[in-house]
Amino acid sequence: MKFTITREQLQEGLAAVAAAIPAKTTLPVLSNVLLEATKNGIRLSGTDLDIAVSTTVAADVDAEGAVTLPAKKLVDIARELPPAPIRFTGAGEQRVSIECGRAKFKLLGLPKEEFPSFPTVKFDKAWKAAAGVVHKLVGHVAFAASTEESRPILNGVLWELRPDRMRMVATNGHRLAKMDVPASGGSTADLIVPPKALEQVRRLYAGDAEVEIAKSENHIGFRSGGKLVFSRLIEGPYPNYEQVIPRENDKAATVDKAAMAAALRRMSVVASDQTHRIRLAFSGGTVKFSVQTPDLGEAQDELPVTYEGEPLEIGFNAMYLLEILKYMPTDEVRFTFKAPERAATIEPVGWNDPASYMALVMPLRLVD
Amino acid sequence: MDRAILYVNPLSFPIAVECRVSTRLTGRPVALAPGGTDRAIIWSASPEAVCAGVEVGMPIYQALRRCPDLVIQPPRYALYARAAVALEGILQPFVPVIEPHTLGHAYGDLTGTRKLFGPATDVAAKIRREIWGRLGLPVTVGLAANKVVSEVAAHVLKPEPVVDVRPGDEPAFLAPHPLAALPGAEPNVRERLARYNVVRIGALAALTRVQVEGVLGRRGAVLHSRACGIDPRPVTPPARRETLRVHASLTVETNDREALVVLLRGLAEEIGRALRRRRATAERLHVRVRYADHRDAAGDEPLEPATDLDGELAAAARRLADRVATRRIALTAVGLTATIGAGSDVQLSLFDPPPPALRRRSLNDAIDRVRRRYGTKSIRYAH
Repeated sequence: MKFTITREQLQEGLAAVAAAIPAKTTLPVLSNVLLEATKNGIRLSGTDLDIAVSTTVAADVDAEGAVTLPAKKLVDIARELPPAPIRFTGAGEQRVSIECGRAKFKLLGLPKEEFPSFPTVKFDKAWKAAAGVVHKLVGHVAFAASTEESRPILNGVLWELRPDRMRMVATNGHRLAKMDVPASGGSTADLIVPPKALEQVRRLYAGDAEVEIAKSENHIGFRSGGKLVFSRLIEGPYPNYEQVIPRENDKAATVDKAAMAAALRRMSVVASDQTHRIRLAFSGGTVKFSVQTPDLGEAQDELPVTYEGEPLEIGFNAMYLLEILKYMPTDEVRFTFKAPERAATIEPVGWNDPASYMALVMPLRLVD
Repeated sequence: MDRAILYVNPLSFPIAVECRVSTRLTGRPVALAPGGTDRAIIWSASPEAVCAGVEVGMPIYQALRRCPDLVIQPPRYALYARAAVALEGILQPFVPVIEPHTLGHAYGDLTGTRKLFGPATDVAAKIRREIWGRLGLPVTVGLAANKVVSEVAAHVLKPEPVVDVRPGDEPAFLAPHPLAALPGAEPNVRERLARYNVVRIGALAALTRVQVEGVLGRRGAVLHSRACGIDPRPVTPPARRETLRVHASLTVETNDREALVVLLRGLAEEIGRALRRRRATAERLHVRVRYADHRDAAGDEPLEPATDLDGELAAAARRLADRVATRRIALTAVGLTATIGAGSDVQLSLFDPPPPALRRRSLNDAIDRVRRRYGTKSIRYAH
């Protein structure tokens, strides 16, 4: 293996795969990046066995070959090298010498054969979507996925692909985010994708690129340009989220998002560290916030609001509300309620976008 | 800076409190045991009763056989809890960090208070005088550089009101005492060590850590360190978690699983009622059973989500009892302890609890209303 590459190209390739390489692993080869010199350039690949990322960067290849090298060391070397062409020369299966100007390194890697093979995903029947659309879906929904291991299915984001629309749904069992975007063509599929894989997609592909999305039996693949992302799909039935979306909420409040978030943050200072409990009392033209935390203190605040319906007192985890508000794309948001122990919905008001977006949050049952 | 840890050891605390309240008990053999059955177990005994052969953990009928003059009183836990709080109140002006241990006993950290209050030995003596003067309770105080040595000091040298073990003297101080004096050396541990002729703390300290681990497993390392007078545990004030306790002594010893389930159900309902009355939920349930041979078995589990529902409490109690009551020996008593959650609010779930849980909540509320009006026995679950 022998090739010459610019520092910028090498850094671009390493930056693309580095996020998929685990910092700590029991399998040493996973700490390495696979470098394959081919006639099309240099293919860099990294994986943590759940997610695999591969990208091709331009290089002047004199002799084809492959080797795996410690990713962190290679990133550090690439960062410290002067802005001059870098020459990689393989010496045997594991040793590589790196020369740049008068700097010389010899790195010991591991044979290519030890690197895990990537999943086989065929892109001949792939869905196609603008990367910007995928970014929008991921950016507004993935935050709601669970990070607890008790229900692995909730650790994934449900991606419904339909001929006329794409929908993403994520929930941790207490709050839920859902977004629909129009689509055209393609077949029907329901995929449960780890949020980490979707974040890789968001990070790797520019908004104006077109992304091909394909699936095999238990993997999903994304392809755009020379960059590929593969991920294991989460198996199992996703909870019937349609059933929990309230249709009969008869109380509605429209509030200024920034003012609401500011009031919630103020109240959170005194809220319980465990439950982040906050009480909201809607009536007339105001919403009153109150927090009472034993052994700490209490706080009250008030905001003007456009409210329709009977007066309502309801408890929430302030963190859930703040997080949802953060992802609402408009300055005003609309809350709807049915009762203190029923799900509340939150939607943007006046969003001029073909997408439709909503979030649900379950209240805290207040006992006093 | 050398640590200065003290351990306050009130002598026969519940009995001393009873004697303080009722002077007629002073000097007489007294024992505390739940009433209602002569099979109830002696919970605490005065030194006079102990001299007469009465032992803690013994059934009442057996204690009376050994000491016919024995005065048996039902324990008044609330009274002892109040006395423990009063005792802690006396410590507070002198001791910056207090960690209550068992009832009335407490660790205190005096590190860094020398310029403020004088030598730690003087503070310990003053605390002892204050407790005796204001509460009339006799205490011994152990003073050392760590928790384990101060506790042993307070227990083993009872005629001495204050025992100060100087830093560096810990191994020599501990060595001659029997293993039973070492916190953590439970009977089963002592039994295993006795097979190797290790019956004193010094003998355990003389072994290597690896040798002790070979006999006792991983916990051996901790016990070996303690035997050497090493205990890095800090004195930590307790997290303020309230608990609710209920227990029942069986009038007839039994190992009938169905009878145990019925008893647990009743206790769980009692806890559930108390929780709902306080508008609180339990986040952990603890079950303790006592066998006819006076041995205890206990276990606990978290309740997720925290609950106040009779059905969920009873189910958890039954699971725990299945786990802990595994010996084929009749039971004499069962107790449930619920730890009240830090926040009694419950985060509702989109997918759980299913509708039956909400129905059970309404059912519990309805049962509570009936019982408030017509008495506890007016309505009960069909088992």
